[in-house]
Amino acid sequence: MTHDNLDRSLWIVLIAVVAATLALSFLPASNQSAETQMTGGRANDQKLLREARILIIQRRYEPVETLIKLGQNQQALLKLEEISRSYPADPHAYILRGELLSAMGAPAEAASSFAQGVKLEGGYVDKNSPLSKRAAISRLVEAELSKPNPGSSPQSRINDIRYLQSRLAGGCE
Amino acid sequence: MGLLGVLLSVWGNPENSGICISCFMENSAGALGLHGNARLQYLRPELPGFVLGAVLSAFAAGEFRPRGGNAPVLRLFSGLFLIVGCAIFVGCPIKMLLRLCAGDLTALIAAAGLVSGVWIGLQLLARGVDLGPQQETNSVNGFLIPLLFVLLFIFVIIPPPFVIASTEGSSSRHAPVFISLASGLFIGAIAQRSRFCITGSLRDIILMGKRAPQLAGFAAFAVSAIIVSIATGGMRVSLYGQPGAHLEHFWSFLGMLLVGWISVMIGGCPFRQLVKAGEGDADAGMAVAGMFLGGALVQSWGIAATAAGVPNSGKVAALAGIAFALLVSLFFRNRSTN
Repeated sequence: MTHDNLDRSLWIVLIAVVAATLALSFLPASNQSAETQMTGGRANDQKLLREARILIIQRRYEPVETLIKLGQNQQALLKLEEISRSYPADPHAYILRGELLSAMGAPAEAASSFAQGVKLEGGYVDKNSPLSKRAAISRLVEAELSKPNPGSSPQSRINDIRYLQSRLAGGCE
Repeated sequence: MGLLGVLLSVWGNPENSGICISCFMENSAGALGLHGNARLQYLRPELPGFVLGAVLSAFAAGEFRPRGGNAPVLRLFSGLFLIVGCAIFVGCPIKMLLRLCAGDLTALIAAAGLVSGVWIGLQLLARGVDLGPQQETNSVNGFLIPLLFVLLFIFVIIPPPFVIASTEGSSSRHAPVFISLASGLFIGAIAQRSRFCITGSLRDIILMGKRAPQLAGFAAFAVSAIIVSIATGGMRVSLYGQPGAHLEHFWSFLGMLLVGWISVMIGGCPFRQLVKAGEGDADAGMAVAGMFLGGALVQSWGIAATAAGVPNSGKVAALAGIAFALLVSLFFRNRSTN
């Protein structure tokens, strides 16, 4: 390993480089703010996106939420359809529609809408998400599964219920 | 292992995922910024635990032996397709066993796929398919992957700002870091001593039948996992509503067939590749690198299955994996032995 001068030189340089690497890793950087901005940027971006999304959802669906609070579910559903035309892939619209349809006594359609929303955004069945609708989805799934012979329901409907049941059970995604 | 596999879920890991190499690879690849699924980013401490536990055990037993063979790029791709197969089923062979022991009947068809894959791999090995012999190699080759995991170990203890951790989704759920690390170190060490490997055990059972000592190992794993599942309320025997499971059984079968087949070709399941990399096996190290790459690609390219089913790109990737295994079998076959 230290056969000649070249070996010895390489070892010395290696030790110096490793020491410098360790020192740079553990010493507080002088220009930390810029560095943190670069390396921690993605985590910050994700946090900002989450917060922005909640604000956008609140603003976008405020008219629907107001109508729901007034008990005008039919009008709320119409307003939701109107908004959905502008934002067709927004999972929150599916979740809101699921809540409305469930309240209006259409569990099959509600399950389908919930399943669409959860497929697009899994946070709706998380326990710790600010957007979580886990309780409402759980209630619907339990009610549907407690019906006699749920397996005799149309396949698409039972598939939605089973999908939601699996997502509520947790596990890896 | 059966005991810890269930207990890690009780302590915080997602249901039926106390130990899952493919999930851990996808989570860790995300934490290092290799994919953008914000719900699957967490540097799982069990991973460096497995490798470093194996390193310590191998050194203690005088079994750390830097070695390697040929076809390194092939092993890289093998590792990648191992994770593709696992992602189609949603779990590695260890998780498949844990799912079975928690009453998830969808894992039965995957188990059939895994056994079929191991059987196909064995038939091909018997007919001359061989990636080449291993030789002793320069010690640096054997140390590089363990060093990478030392770095990941440091990242777990002192997370640098570029390591991302999900705040929502299954990756936000994890056992306490030091429990995960300690469990990983312990499991890595005992797996190195016992040569534990799901597909290797299946191979020996197929070859030796009832005389295979691995039967007792399987039984011990299953009995301990079933008892702890029942004791902790995790047992629910059903085909439906299982955590992180889908109902596309044909693709579950095919995904695990791919895993079994490739595992026999490269000499071990995903978990065994990690342990062998910890023993200084550079070939296994290449497979581990491929597994990391696979963990990133299955998320970035939308290959991974979910409870909703297997996406089309996942089906294409599984078939590409089968084509890869067929190509390897065709071009790495020593026909003079027959």
